[in-house]
Amino acid sequence: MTKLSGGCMCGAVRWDYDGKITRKLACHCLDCQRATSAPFTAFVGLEPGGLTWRGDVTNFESSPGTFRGFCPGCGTRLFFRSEKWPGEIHLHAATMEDYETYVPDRHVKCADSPGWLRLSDDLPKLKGFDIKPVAG
Amino acid sequence: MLCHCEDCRRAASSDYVSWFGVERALTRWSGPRRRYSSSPGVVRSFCGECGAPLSFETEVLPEEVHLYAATLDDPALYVPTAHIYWSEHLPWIAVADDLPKHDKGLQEAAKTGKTLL
Repeated sequence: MTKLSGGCMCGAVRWDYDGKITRKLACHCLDCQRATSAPFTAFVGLEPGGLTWRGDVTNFESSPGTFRGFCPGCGTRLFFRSEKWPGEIHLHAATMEDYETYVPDRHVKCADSPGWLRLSDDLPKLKGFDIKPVAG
Repeated sequence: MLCHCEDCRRAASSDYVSWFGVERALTRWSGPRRRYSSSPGVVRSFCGECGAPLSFETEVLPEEVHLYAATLDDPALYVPTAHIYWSEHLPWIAVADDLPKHDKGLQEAAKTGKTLL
């Protein structure tokens, strides 16, 4: 079991977690690029039942059944969750305290990466997304 | 430019951001944009509907606004020219491009009259 905590830039939203990490990945898909305005974004996958939220979160439905939460005060993007994946919620790793020590274990959806991106880390770089969701 | 500073990473909830600078006076906006001051003299904006990060403005560079490449209708138009705040890059990030890697950013450069482009 892992205890984690984090929140948004302005401090209005905080989260605490006690549970296991379901996955650690950096997603390059176009929706994640549009949602974060960044070339890719690192996630930490968590079990929804172990997560406690404080503060208001705005849920944006970025595609049917897929929600991307953000803080309405400062805009910090907080999570990705999908009805297709009821057993997990993916928090943006950059919202974690001490996330500078966090390392994802793979890149996914690299077929969507911006043409200028030249990463040279040792992580697997998958063109698609080949990992099954955790069952709910 | 590719910015690795902690504020940009926190604002975009990502590992670094890709942006380009344009003239503030020539930029026209529409829609539900919200502003947030992430540090003294700095205003960031985002879409109030979906949360997408939109812009960065600093009083040190009053004629510029920095927009995120990922918000372009055609992101393929964008090619970065340098990394900034490389001194703050995440330990696991490694890049194979041959772009310059500046330890600090434009605000410090503007104060000393330096050009990073």
